[in-house]
Amino acid sequence: MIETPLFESRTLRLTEVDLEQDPVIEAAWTQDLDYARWFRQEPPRPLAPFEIKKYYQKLLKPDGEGGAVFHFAVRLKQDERLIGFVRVANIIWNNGVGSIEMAVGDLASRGRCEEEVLTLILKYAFHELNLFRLSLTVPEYDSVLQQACLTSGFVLEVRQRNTFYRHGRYADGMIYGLLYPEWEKQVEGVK
Amino acid sequence: MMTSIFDGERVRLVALDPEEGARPYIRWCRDSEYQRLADDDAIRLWELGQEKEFSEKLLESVYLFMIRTRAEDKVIGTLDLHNINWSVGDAWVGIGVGEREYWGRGYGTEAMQLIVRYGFEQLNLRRISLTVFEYNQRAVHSYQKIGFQEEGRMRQWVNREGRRWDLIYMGLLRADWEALNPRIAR
Repeated sequence: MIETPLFESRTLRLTEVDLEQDPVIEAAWTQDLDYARWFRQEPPRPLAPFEIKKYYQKLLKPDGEGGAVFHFAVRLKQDERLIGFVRVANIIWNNGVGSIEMAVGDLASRGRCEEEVLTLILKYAFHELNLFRLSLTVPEYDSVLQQACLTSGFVLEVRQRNTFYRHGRYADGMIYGLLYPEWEKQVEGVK
Repeated sequence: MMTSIFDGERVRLVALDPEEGARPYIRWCRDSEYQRLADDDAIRLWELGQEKEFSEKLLESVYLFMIRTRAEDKVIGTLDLHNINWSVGDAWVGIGVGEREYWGRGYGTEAMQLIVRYGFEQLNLRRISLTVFEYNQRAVHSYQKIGFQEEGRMRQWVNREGRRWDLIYMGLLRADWEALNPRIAR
């Protein structure tokens, strides 16, 4: 029903972006190129706070390039500390499909919250955006996010050879997919 | 005209001129099947000026070509490399042959072979990626002939007339292409 809280779970909260404070924190995280890669089309590099802010200003324009992007900052409920972001992007409405993009920048939260973030965004994407299927691309070396995908019911659908390059090595891109009927069955099973 | 790397036996790739390319393109778009083979957005029709403006903008970031037949010098389709990730050496390829009488006769395959060679031998790409709808088996066979391998499928991606179809992911690594084309590759 409509009273289900969509923006909070046991320990996390999805919120709007704080354009003044979040970019400062996220800029520090872009020293890690796997966080930085989300903010530029070109090969990644560390970014300054004003670059992150500019990126968000463009992304969050209602009728601009971010029109079909539903972006959230992820915070810890206990102290409202920013730990990363999650969004539904690349939506094609006529097919009811979209992709999830997420990254956890806060080191202390890595490996602890990914599954909870996915639970939140899946509920939002399936119950509010009414999408039929979602996908998520994870580099081969990110075993934490891959495990969270599998636990959340995603199926490995595509393995793109050599589409990532880190630390002098090529890595495959693993694309996970989840259909609404599969998710619904899983959620029903938990109830 | 001298033979260049953009000349095949029957087709030639030339720079897209928005002025010249827009007219056949908007005509091809009236063929809904052509559009449904090419795109997963809701298909629609564009006015001539919009299309010119769109392709002019596209040329800033995309390696876009028109496919011309060598015999009649006729524009039969377009072809492009886009979303190039230079640090990985990966690019996406897209092709659309709009003139129906050239479907299924190897013209598209020949054009594709030319752009793949350009990508590997001139742009120093390491791999080329594409997606194709499950219902477009003619294209799948063409890509397989060039050496593209299926890397997986996004299940039930596209919804056409109440039925869902998979989106097939294919990839071609330069090493595999070189092994298949020892005469071309150095």
